[in-house]
Amino acid sequence: MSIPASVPPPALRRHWATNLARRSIAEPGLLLPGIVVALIVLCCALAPWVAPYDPNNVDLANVNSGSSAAHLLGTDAVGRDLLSRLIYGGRTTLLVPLLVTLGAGIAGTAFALTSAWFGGWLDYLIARGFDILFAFPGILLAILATAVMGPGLATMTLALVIAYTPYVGRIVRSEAIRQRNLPYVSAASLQGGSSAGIWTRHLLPNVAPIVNAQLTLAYAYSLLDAAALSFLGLGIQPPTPDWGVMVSEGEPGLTSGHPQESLYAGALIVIVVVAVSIIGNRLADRAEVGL
Amino acid sequence: MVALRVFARHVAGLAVTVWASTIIIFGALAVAPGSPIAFLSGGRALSPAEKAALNSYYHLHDPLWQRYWDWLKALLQGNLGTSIAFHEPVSTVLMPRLETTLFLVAYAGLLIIVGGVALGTLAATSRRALDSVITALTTVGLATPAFVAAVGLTLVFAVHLNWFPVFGSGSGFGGRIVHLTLPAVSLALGGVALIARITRASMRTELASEHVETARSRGLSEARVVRRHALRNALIPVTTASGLTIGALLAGTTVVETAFGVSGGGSLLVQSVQTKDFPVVQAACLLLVISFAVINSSIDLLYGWIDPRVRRAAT
Repeated sequence: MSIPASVPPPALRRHWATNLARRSIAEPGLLLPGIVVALIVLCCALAPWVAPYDPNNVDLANVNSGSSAAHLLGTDAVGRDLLSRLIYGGRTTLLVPLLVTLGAGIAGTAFALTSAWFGGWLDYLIARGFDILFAFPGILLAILATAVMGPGLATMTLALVIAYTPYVGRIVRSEAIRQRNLPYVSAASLQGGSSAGIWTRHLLPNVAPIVNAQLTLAYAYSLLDAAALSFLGLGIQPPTPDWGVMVSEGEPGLTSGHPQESLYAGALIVIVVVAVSIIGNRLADRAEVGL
Repeated sequence: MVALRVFARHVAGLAVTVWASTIIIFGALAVAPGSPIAFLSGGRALSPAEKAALNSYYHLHDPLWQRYWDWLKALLQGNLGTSIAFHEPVSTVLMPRLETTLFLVAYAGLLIIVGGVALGTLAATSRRALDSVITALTTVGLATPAFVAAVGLTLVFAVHLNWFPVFGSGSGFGGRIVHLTLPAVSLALGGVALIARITRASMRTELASEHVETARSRGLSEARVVRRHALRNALIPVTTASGLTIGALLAGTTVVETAFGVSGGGSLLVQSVQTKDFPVVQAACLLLVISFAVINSSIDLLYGWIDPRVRRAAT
């Protein structure tokens, strides 16, 4: 008698770095966005060494200047170096969606797997909870949270984690329910595997590709939401540099001939989100193919 | 009879969503730190009469569930409370602005449906080169937040070309159209890209299907095949997606109205958070969520009208 075993395909067994390298060579479409994201992340992570100036260094003698040797991208309305502010600003802009993605990924997956495993009324309750939260636009939830707890990184991150949990949870739940009914789960269960063992050793690795794809896309979307909140003055507070804040701070310059600040910060947001969503869509395609 | 049952089910779903959102919105007040009266006044010095009015409207001495129930009853009677910043009933402040917001959403929604379906159909029926150009454009469109689109559009169409005003909401129908065009385009951009993608994908599937092949083999012109045989079926997934997309525009108005200085419900919500005018925040959030739920369910109903199978499946 042959029991369907849950042997992972050989590709999953290689070291992840080998995998990454092989895939990147096989798919140049993933390589370019990957390099773009990596470069930007590296620049922002190493901001104190990369940025030419202190991002909050005001120089009122040199406001709204264009590109020059001293200030590669020019200065803003109070003479702060734009390049340095963009490099430091990327830290908060890129960090918040990372925290949101991690938080929503953990909460969404935990709720979804609980829901799929136990079924019954618990499943019903969790699924309805997802539906209701899903009907409440994320940005409204964040605005409401800000009204109550005051603006800032923590409020914004917490509200977006709650808003994105059903986004991850709904897809993981349906995939986990599908997987749960596959023969390999009952086979593992028949062999005497404990629930916890089946969860961590079998179910989780098998829903991982879909979770990864969904999380990558959630990163892109939550970056847009977080930047929008900071733009509204309800997220990261000035003078902390942030790309969303910079688009808003540069707005008066649009009508007075100094559009650089808004343009550069806006362009960076678009570039990062395009790159991340290309990667996310690829991962999603692959997760579906792999089913 | 069947239509009635479908309708009833949608209304029930709508009621549950609205009820759940009242709990979230009311609950927000309950978890606010500090004393409720200090929070509600947003740190302003209030006259004893104003304090008494707040106390009686929110029944701050009653238990939480009692307060929620009273608040709900007042809502159902159309009493949204009194704005702390404007010293006027919330409905007087909010309603005219909400009208501007709904106008803006309708305008953007129209752009999304017309633009998205047209672009998607074009991409699905044209050669590879144009198709990839449109796909690339939709990728950028999806990644461009409304406030960045606002920057670009203002720069090109308001500052350089001077076709549209930079700020304001305009008066009269014509004035509104002129003032709200750039806001509507920035608001619609992501939606157009999304609907174009979905239309393209579902159109591709339809064009490869047997009934379209049959129509072609009967000698019908390609234009007629696309319009009568492929598009109508291809629109089914598009309808569901546009419901969610257009509903989401309501939340997006907070950003676009602020970026363009349009005095609407969205910008009022943002202002009220900054001025700590909590009664307005609650009412604006609630009305935006209700509008979102109503738009969503109406489009779901429309879905049944387009696809007879859904109507039959509901019995």
